[in-house]
Amino acid sequence: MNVAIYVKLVISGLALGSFYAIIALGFSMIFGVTRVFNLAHGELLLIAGYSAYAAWKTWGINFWLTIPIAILVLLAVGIVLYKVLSSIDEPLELNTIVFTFGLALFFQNLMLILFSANYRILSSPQWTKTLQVFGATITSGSLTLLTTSLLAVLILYFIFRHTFWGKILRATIQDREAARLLGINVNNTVILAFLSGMALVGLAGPFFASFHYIYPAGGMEATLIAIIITIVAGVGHVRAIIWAGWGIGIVENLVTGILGAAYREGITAIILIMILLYKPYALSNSQ
Amino acid sequence: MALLKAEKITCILEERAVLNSVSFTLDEGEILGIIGPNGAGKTMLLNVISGFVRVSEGSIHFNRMEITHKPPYRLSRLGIKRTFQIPRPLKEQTVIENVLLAYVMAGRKLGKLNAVVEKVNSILEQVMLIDKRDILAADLTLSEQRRLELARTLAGNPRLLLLDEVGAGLSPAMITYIQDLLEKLNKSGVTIILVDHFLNLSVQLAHRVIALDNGKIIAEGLPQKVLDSPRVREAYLG
Amino acid sequence: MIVVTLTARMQRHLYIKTGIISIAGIFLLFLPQIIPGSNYFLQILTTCFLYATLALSWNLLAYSGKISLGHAAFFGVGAYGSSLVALNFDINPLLSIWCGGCFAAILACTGGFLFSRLKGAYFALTTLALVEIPKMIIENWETLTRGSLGLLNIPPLRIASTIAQSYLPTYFINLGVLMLVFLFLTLIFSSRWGWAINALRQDEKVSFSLGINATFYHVTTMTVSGFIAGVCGAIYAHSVGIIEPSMVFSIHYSALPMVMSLFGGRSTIVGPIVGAFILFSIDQLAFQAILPIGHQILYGLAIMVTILYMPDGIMGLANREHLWHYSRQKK
Repeated sequence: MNVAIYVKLVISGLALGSFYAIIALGFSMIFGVTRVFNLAHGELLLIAGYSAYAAWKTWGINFWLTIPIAILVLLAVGIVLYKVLSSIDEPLELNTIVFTFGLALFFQNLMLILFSANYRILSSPQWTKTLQVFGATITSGSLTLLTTSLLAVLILYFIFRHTFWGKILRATIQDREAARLLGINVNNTVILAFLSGMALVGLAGPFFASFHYIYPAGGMEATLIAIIITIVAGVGHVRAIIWAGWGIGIVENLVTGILGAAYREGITAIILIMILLYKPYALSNSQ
Repeated sequence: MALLKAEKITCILEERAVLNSVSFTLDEGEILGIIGPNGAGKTMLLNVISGFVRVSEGSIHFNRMEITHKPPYRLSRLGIKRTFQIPRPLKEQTVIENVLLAYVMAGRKLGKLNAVVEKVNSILEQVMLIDKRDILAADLTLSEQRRLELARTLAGNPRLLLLDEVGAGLSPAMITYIQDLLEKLNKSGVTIILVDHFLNLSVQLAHRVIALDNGKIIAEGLPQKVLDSPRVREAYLG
Repeated sequence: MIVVTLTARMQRHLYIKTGIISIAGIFLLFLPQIIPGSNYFLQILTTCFLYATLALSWNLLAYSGKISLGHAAFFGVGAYGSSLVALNFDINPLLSIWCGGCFAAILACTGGFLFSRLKGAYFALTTLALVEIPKMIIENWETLTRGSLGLLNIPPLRIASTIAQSYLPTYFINLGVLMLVFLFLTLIFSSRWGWAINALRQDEKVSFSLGINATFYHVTTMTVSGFIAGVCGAIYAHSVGIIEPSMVFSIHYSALPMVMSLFGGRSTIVGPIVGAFILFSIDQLAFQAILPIGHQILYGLAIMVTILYMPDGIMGLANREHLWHYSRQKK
């Protein structure tokens, strides 16, 4: 293998990683405010992907127009999900992880019923144009993915760091009781953050459907990756999340490029286990 | 003979020394009181001796054996039994089941079942819980839960008893009763460490008292003498 | 193993449970003679037995306080282990299923050792990821396992006197394994070991202070649980005849035992069996007919409903005495 292939792998790894960062940001916002390990995260991503796919298939609309549709669908799902999740009893961490595992199963079968087990793709012709970087061929799709993801992450970073709401949100994530004592309307913040997380997944969905073949059982890996990035980066640290996203994107691409695609999921799982063993309780700031 | 010997134990949690170079020895058959204001490190000292918290520096010997980094279950099997400051009964189990569990887990050979039940019943009688023996532990009052904690340690065949605030929240009559019980136990050869913030038991019972403040020993000696020392008064009154 | 059922409460429960299940077992043993024509019904029961056993294995781990989201790992390793042993060494499937169980037990033991200090959700996450590792190895070790093509012509389970090609041998074997596992677990739960893991579930710190070696009990519990799940996977492989990685390592074999245990009632030993029978019957008799694809949506729904509305499962609803006892004491 020559250098060009590695350059290509790294650049498409960066694109993939930025995309993972968006998914992980969604996960980390939802986790940060509700303490729910949402195992149905990947399935939510698939729902967004499938709604974009359905809109594109039935109305023949442009790729970019499917994004608002996917976001709307996820916001609707998010409102219902929030209601249900907030009525779960103690022990919260364990009950929600079991609950969302059931939810993942539910969504998988629902999508199976609605869209069958076939592999689907939202094909968009503009992704296949190519250009040369250091002798490597990069598709415009990778570049679009990279720029859109980076843009989204930058906007979020700005909101987190430099707006009043961002400060409130960070305070709520760090210590809910203290935030309440400071006079922050914690409930509204939580709902807003939860829905923003859902909207991020809604944004990622159409890209997911457009760059991968989607099928009903294909969500678990995205969930695992979101969990890995969240644990490595910590909750609500936008910059760390994007670094972790790039890291895992590049690792995955190199693994796929060198060992073959059959090793990808296994390597993801091994990374998750290593991280959990090395950094247990990284996320439980309550203890 | 020294049963327990702690040398310069230092324990750092979140960059704060909760125990700072604490040394003391405990003879077999002694009752040692540990007093001090809130946050002085009394419970931490028990946690360290019973192995629940690892020391950062220093060493602990029990019965001339080094136990510094041994896991808690090992220490428990050596006969170091403890209670918890906030009682932690197994709530899904009845009172007698809680005590039985402790009895069974102490690693003894179990003989005839009836004999075991009789033994456990007598322990429950000692702590005046015999009427409640078939009630779920979740339904006990605080005072009863404290006595259940005590019963569990007794069932475990203790050599060194670590009691954390065993008198707190008990009625005066009950405290007197527990005093007698502990005295009797002590006579039968059990060494006892009492953590006692409210000075309920240590004044009457302890042969010796250690006062802690900010993780350091500030006074040591006979109970009345330690209580009268100005540094201890100052620590308590802030 | 010393059986310690000292209190009247425990002794009564033990006798009632073993009694009912033994009678049910004997009845089920003669059922094929009573209704020889009803193949479909007996086939459903056959699978119920298998899933009930799998649910019991999951519940054993849950009884020690650990929620597993990855029992498919043990199921799949058992299925592949037994099939490969039977195919390559020409061993009777009746023996090779135990080898399958042993392979799964080795994996479970390793996992249990590595993960023993993780608690709650973090342990659950590692088990979720654990499934992918044996799957990856089996998918890529093509010389041995034919990779994602799967294994074909796995010899079926046979008992000497029964006709080949019948589901009856599987019926009896599944029933036998279920009864064996049930009786074994009943014994375990009332032994010192069972008491220890019961205490570990309720309060780990107290367990330490009583002298319970948490690591030892967690590792052994996980090993036994993995072994049972592995045997289930092995039986499954031999009764289907064809397996492939994505089939036996599917999320469904992680979910099913969990759903069935939770739905039936996780704190009881009969709960998982009840859950398996009810849910699988509903699945086969109602959902399968309405939704040929995606009928397993039932299990997702069942998890959610259980968590939201009946945390103690069906047995919790049925066990009124316990609830009544609770409320009376509180007044």
